[in-house]
Amino acid sequence: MSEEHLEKLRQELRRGILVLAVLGSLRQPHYGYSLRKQLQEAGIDIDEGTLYPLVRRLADQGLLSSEWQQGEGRERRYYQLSSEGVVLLESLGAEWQQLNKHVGKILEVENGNN
Amino acid sequence: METIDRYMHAVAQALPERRRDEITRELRANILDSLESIREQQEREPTAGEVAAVLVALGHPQQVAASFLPPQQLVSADLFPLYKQSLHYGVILVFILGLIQFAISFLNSGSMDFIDLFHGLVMKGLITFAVITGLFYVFSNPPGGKPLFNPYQCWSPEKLPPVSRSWQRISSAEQGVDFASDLFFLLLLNYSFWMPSEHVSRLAVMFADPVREWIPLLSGVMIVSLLFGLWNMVYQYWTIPKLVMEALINLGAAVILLKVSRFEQILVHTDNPSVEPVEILELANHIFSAGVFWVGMWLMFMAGWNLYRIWQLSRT
Repeated sequence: MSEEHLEKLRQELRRGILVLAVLGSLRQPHYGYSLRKQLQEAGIDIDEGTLYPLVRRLADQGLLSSEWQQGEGRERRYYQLSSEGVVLLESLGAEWQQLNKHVGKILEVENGNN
Repeated sequence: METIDRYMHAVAQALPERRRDEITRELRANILDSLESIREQQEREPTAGEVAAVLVALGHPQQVAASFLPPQQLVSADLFPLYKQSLHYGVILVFILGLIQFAISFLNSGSMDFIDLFHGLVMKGLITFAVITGLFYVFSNPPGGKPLFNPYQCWSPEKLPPVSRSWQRISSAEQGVDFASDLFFLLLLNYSFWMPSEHVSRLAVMFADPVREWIPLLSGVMIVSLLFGLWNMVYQYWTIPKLVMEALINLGAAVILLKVSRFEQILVHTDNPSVEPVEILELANHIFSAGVFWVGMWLMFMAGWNLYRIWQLSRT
């Protein structure tokens, strides 16, 4: 398998999980750059060109609320989970736990066979 | 800052006006945060190169602007199979209509302008492509985001074509060419019905009397073949009843053509004193007789082939 193909599959795998990670991080308010830093510290490296539009899309869907605040002499837009986002995060989180458990079992069996 | 302003301007240009201020304001704040981080790490102002690197990492302005907007596709992946099929039918339709137009023009004036035919086919093909693509763009990006229709909704496994062999599929292109050629010969045989009388009066040759006696019957077979061709374009697969019908059409046409090929003359001079007689009429008659004979033989063979396929299908 080529590197390019692997990278494509890796991105596909990460795409859905990133939404979950962003929603999870925004239980506390963050502005764009601080959100990226927090995700990086949690081990999820996401480039700005992907993160900022993703946050905007989630806000457009009503899952995040936002407000402009002045800080360190500059304005920043802070995002936080909306009530709708909280409900969705709960469902998605449960779904993720289930999937993770099942896929984990499958991978364990595969590794055992090998 | 000037570089950032230029970047923001380029992003803004690619955004719809109603979202321009909101997105660029936020994007600028994010860029300034990135530069702030460099300032803290390096304990100095970011260099022009570092500012440019931050912008490059964000992406091309058009790419960045597009990523903030709902994704748009010329044709969605869901609709693409239907789009390809529509283009396929569109091209065949253009080809058939072009050939019919060419045939009528040839039979009317006797001129064969192949460049005009090619030009017409290309132009009509491009218009068809543009219209079909435009329609599918609207279907793929419906106003309000709600799909206008779902083409894959009305189906059931029981209604799928009863096809078990690959040859049972009827090719649209082949069917289109058959349809166009049937129509051409039907028009040719019945030129007196549609050709202006002044053109008929200027003709140098006409079908011989014994041939003319068979024209109504041959036309009848061709009309049945045309209607059957339309049926085949809708339901593009062979079944035993359809193969029986095809065999009967081929057999009927073959018998008539083989009979006609035995006549001494197919074409004769008109008794028009104002038109010069055709010098090579005898040679033309020989060629036509041979042509009609071999087409008749081919149709006879095809009728036999249809019977063979009926036998094949009856065994499954």
